[in-house]
Parts: sequence; structure tokens; C-alpha cells
Amino acid sequence: VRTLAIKKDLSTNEYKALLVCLAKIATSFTFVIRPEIKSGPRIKSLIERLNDFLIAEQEVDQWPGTQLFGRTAKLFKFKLTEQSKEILLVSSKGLFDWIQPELPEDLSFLYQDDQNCLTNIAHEKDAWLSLNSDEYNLVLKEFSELIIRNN
Amino acid sequence: MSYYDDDGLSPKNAQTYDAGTGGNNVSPATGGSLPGSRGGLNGSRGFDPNQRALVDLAKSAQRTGVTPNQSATLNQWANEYNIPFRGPEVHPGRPQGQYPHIHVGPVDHIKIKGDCP
Repeated sequence: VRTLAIKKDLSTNEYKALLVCLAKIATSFTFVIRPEIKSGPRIKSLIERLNDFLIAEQEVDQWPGTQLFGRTAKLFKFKLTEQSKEILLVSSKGLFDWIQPELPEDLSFLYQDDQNCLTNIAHEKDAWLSLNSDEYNLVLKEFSELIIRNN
Repeated sequence: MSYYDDDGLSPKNAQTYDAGTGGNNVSPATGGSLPGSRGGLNGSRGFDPNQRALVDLAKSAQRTGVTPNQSATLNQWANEYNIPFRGPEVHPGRPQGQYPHIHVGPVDHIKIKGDCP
């Protein structure tokens, strides 16, 4: 598995292109709701719209990229389909916009085997792709401008 | 008593500042400063006075780190004054936030001293 970091100033068009690309290789996505941070009305609305794609909802004290101490967050996992992808595309303009209170936190993507595909720590503006050789070549070919460095 | 005495600090008593009992007492409500801090409010624009004072406290804490109890107090004040608060948390193996830390509004990576609960 090779790791590629996403540049911090991803444009909206680049972000949306990345989502389209991820829809080809990932099968689910996650985000979290952190109770210590307020949740705005868009969050409830978004979860309602994604309800048909909900796979799991659980209390966690860690998720890819982040570990909490002495508290938990609610992790939501959804099936990634054409429809759920479209909902994501119209719900945000950037990968690092996934921060409460406007949106749930840390939109991330998983492979079929639940291994991380794209991991996102939105409030740190830190996101990276974990790719096998074929996917690595595909992403580099189509989206080399998204990548800032090898980890 | 200093502002950061774990035993003497509570959001309730920290909202009152009695200049006659010691110049180190401070709270977001009074806009005071931590010992050793610059104490100014100029660096935190766009906030009301309480929020500005809390952000200034967080900036001071960023230089010194905070205990878990102090972190909890900052969390309470952040809730009270409507400032976003994150953590305590850690981002293992990442470029930023590899150590336990909190975020208070715009002030990032305030280190937690000692063991996190």
C-alpha cells in the first residue's frame, strides 16, 4: 500500500473530481459527530438524506487519524453509491469543509474490506490516500495535481 | 491563588475577579491575563469580550500546556461562551497533533500535560 497526501488548498473542482475518482475504488464512507462541538441544522438534514445508505452507526473513541481521550463520538458509515456520492457532491465544497457545526467531521472513504482508502482529519487540513499499485497509478495519472507528497 | 490552580478553579468562581484578592485571578468574563501572558485583547478580533478573553487564555495555555483538569475547565468555558472546542485528542503518526492536545477556537494544539483520562 502506498500513501499519498492531499494538498491543503484543494479547489472545489479538484475536490469533486476526487470524489468521483473515489467512487470508482471505494465502497463506503464515514464521518463522525463529536458531541463536544455543536451540530448545525445541515448535519441533521444530511443524515436524513443519507439514511437509505446507512450501514452502521456506533459510539467510538477513535477513528482513522484521530483518537479521543475520555469521550466518544458517533461514527456513521454509509454505502457509497451513485446517489450517495451525489448527495456528498452537493453537500460540500471541499474535503476540509467537513467540520462541525456546519457538517459532520472527517469525511473518509473505505475499501470493500474496510481498509482506509481516503483518511481525513479535516480540522488539521490533513488527508491522505492509501492505495495499492493499480489505484496509485490511476490516481497519479488522473489527479497528480492533488498530491503534495509521499508520506 | 493562581488562575490555573486545579483546586481553586471553577467556571463559577472564575467569572468573578476581585482585584483585592490577588492579581493573578482571571476569567474570560473579566478579560484578564494569565501570569506571564501579554494580557492584551488585541490579538483576538471578531469575538465578544468573553470570547476574546478565553481565546487569549488559550493562547497563553498554548505556550505552557494544560493539565487534564485545566483542559476540562477550558472546555466548560468554551461551551459557555460559544467557542468551538476539540479534544483531548491525538493524531498518531501524522505531521500535526501527535501528542495529546486540545483546540480552543482558533488556538490549535494546546498540549495536555500528564496522562489523559
